Amino acid sequence: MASSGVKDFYRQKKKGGPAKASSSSKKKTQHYTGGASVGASNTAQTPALISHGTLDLKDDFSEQEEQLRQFDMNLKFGPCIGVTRLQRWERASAMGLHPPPHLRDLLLNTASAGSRNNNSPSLECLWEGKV
Amino acid sequence: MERKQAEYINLDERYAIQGEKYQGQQYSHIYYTRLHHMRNLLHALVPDWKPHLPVTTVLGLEEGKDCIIVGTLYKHMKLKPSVLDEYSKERSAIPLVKPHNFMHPDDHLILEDESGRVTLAGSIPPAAYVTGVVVAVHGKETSAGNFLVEDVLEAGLPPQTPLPSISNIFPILVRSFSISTICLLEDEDKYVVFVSGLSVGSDKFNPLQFQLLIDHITGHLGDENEQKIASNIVRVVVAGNSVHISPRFFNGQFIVPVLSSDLIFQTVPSKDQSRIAEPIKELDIMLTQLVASLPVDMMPGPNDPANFLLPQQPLHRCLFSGASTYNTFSSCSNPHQFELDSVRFIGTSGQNIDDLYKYSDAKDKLEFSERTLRWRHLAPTAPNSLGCYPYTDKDPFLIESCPHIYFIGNQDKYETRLLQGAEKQNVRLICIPRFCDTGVAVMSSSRL
Repeated sequence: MASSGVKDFYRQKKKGGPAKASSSSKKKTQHYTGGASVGASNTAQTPALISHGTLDLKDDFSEQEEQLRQFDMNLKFGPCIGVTRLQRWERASAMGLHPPPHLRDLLLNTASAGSRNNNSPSLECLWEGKV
Repeated sequence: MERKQAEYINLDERYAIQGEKYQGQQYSHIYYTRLHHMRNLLHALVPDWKPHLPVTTVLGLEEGKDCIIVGTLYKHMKLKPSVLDEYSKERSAIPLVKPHNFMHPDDHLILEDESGRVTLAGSIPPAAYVTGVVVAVHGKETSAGNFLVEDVLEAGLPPQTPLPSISNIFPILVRSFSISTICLLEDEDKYVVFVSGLSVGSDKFNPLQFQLLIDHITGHLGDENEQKIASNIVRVVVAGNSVHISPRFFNGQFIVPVLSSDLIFQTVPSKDQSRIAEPIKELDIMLTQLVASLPVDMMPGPNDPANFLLPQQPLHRCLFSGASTYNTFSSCSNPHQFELDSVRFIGTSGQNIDDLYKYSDAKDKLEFSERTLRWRHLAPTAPNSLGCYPYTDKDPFLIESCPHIYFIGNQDKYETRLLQGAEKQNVRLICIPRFCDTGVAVMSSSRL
């Protein structure tokens, strides 16, 4: 991964207006996640300094992941850090808060799908591994 | 003469941590579930209290507008010990020797919900409240940004399944050579004996006192009248601090048997190893006499070999190799909840009330117990100053149904009162004194 070129590192897709803004802000965060020294070149992304060994590239996340992130951030359902999204959904449902049912199906499908690339929605909340 | 029997149902499943999986979560979840549950209750009670006022969130406050807000209280205390004090350069206001009570005239309350927090002023005395209590307050926001409180609504006593009559209670005083019980015995009464703070293994422990108590309960003492009293006892509840292990054994050494001289760990010398287990063995021997005769519930306390965080899990059976062979021996959690012939008992080994004593003020310990019932929460200071497990989806210390008997172990003296609620609830509050200090056990009836 450290050997891939600059283009791969700063991969951007041309999307519609708002999406473009978010992807450019993602690019900003990527710039600073490259290891201990800020502004280091692409080759300085040492594996040991990356949490969980996954890239922080999320400019490519799907519409479903966006919905799940909105679910994470919704104060009505309580704090999101420290529980998986499915557990939080079940908890909200048990408390009678009526979380959107299609999110549960989405999470269960993702759980059973097995193969997970960067594009599929995550089972953990959006802060997992970063806080 | 035959001992009476009573139907016993153990309700400790809510305190079991066995099924919980720790994922690294923090305490925000337990506060969230507590707020959610209590807020639903309070919202249902507000229309009867002040029906014309709007209920709003903290962020929705408008200056000068009379309204009601519901949230969790946080008490900002100057003298509350903080782990950061050790690192502060200036040791000014906070003395290194911690006082017993951390109250200060400058303490103030803050109300918090999901949207924000606001400082409370007005007719809500900080001395009577602690962090973690959920209340509804009526008042208005001032220009200074505070919320001036006019009135406070607590949830009040939870609903209770009614029983035909109230309970009788009296202390059993055990001196070195005599037992005195002052009681008016009704023929059909069944009694439960509460004892706590046995502290087997400490200097204060007097084996003769404990043996006298056991003989009295098992009916080996006294004439026919005494035995008649004893035959009406259906259960013994030991409410914590049954053993005392000398602190000099807790100095961080690994207890590893030395198999080879290559081991660099220090070990507890073998003579000390058996010394640590002595108090538990002695307790087991004496308990075996008790369980041979009637059912016993053993609760862990702050000094017992159980986990530190509440709810404390039941002491392991291997500690009681003699007593656990009897099916009358139950190792229970702390807090402990059970039903005896449909009379509901709830109690703790004292940590919840002792923590309230450190952070708030009341005229006696019974008033603290009364407050926990009115707030419908056994241990509101958990997890702020009292250790508790970081639950994600429930708060097991919420009191859903009002007990008939509420007992607190390891207190300074024996106290009791009958508390009456707004909806004809009747609760017997009991403070059980430490047996090693006072020699007093408590015998409580519930007219059945």
